Amino acid sequence: MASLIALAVFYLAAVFADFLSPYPYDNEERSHPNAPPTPLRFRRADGSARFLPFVYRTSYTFDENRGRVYVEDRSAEYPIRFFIPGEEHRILGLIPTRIHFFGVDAPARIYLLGADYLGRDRFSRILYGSRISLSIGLVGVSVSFVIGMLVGGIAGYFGGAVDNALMRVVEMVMLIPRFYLLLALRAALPEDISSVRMYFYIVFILSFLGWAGTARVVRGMVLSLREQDYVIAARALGRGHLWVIVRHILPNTLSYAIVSVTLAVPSGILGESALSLLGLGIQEPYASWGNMLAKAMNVAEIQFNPEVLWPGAFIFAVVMCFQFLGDGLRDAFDPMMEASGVKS
Amino acid sequence: MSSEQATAEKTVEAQQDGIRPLLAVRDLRTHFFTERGVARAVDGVSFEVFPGETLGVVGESGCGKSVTALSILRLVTPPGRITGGTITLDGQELTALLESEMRRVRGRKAAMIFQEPQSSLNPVFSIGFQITEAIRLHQKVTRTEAEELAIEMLGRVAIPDPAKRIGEYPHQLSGGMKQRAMIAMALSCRPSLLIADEPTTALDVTIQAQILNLLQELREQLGMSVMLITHNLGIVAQIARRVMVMYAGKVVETASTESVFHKPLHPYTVGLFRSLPKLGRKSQKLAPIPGEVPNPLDAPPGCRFQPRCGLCVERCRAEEPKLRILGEGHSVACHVAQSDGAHFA
Repeated sequence: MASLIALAVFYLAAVFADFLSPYPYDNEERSHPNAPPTPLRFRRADGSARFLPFVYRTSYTFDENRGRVYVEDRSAEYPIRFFIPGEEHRILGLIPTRIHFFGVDAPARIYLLGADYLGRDRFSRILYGSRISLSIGLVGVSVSFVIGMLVGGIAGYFGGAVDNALMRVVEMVMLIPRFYLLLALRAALPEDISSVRMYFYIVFILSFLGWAGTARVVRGMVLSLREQDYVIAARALGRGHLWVIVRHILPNTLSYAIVSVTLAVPSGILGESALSLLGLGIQEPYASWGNMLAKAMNVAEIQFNPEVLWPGAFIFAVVMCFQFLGDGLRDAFDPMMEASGVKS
Repeated sequence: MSSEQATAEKTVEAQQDGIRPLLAVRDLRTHFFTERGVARAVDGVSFEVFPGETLGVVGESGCGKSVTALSILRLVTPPGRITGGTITLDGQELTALLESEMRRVRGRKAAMIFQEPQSSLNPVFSIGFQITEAIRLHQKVTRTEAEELAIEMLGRVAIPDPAKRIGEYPHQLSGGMKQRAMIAMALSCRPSLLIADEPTTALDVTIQAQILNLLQELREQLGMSVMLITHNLGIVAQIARRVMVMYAGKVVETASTESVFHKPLHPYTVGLFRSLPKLGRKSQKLAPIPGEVPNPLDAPPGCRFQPRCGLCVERCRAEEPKLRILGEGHSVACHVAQSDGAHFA
């Protein structure tokens, strides 16, 4: 239940990313490369307290090892202001506005999770990136689920030669290790394409990966469901095969399907992240959790800017949430649990 | 087809005062092609159902009653297949129809209800939804009209407060109510033939009587014919006008209910009655039929009942008996049977 709420928060944040983030995903500030998180101050220089936090303007110098050191300019305070005008954007893609949920007045900048090598706010980019990373898993898995349910339903319902043929195809797809299949499919697609098209290609790739497992399990369930009298009753009333499969048998597999979708979404998210991490997915300047994490492939980078790992933390949190949600749903749907009176 | 059988059919038809049968099944063969061999579940079955009558089909489990019923609607699934014979419903030859044409027959001309009401309704939809779906499949009506028709049907099958029940799911209804809903669904498109495959077996006795009465009433109201499949001779006595007794994929005896009960002629039918408890025959042991139903993969030569029959003669082992007319509308597939029942003496 907590994971459901957490996921709702994640997805709402993704929807309202442009409103919640202080800066657009491609807003560069070359004077602040790799800036650490801006310290939030509650105590003024003279020692008096402020209720709302404020920040100081920062700039960098180099230390004796030619490493960048950011220092605060304590002469002026920049309080964090809510509903502050900034870059223009459209809430839900409809309402044009300049208002952002929070921010600080220029020339100070606020980096809650630090800045990347171009001085872009990591927090803003994570929010924008969540749009891609969270939706791609969901869309990809839904597509693969529709395919999986249909193929499994048809195989299980008709049985015999149809079943045999479809299941051999399924096994062939399952035979190939997922990650290599992911790479092979990506390699089969053109290299220089816009990020929007890339998005749909990734959806296609992910759905191609996921349907086989679903099809196999659904087939098993349908094999037993088709023996139910209501299947032959629907036929006796004059329904066609496809209608019986889609309207009468598959709805009975839904409780399994919902759990399975929930448990499959993380693999979609991870698949996209993996592609983007390797530079094969969403390209800069667009943000996705995977391509942001790509910077963390360098050990030295992690050593000097541990903040590059933040997108990883978000991936971790979301994947865990989906796992817990799926587990919870499975317990809730489990008829054995219900029968014995155990309620989760 | 033998000449004897042909005469039998003619005679039966003549006795119906020239009324054409609603359903005429001729020499139906439905075989199951399994890995261990061919199971002749239905092997040369012929019968007819006349308009407005109830035909009782009686037999042990596995004698081919249900497969016959499914064959009429062409719903036999692989490895089963109709390998021969004709099925004529209302002048239309069903075995020659395309699957798409067959779909228009199912539900509209012939509908079917099943043994287990709990599994013949889809658990994830409300009964109203399922009945409206059936109505809208065959009739061009709007959703609201279909809903009204569904409520009317539920009222006809004596479900109290149908307008409220329509939104309920199968698990909220009792077994009897479910069977009523199932009947409402099957009859929603006013079929002329209703095939009821053991409709009361899963219900308790008082509900059984209610459902049977309901079927009788609806048959009269809607002027349809009912083919009632059962292994319960009591049910047959209660509502069927004619009875067909099946054994191991064959029809062994067909007659009016009265003559079957008063003067059964086939040794198997007699055996069925002897194995029933009877009022006024206290402390008499029931006489089960010796032996067991033959394996459909390996039917005995000659008459299929011959290994269990007390009256078996040499001819029974060599030659398969055909249906012979031995009385008014009474035909029997037995070499030794005589019309006066003298062979049992």
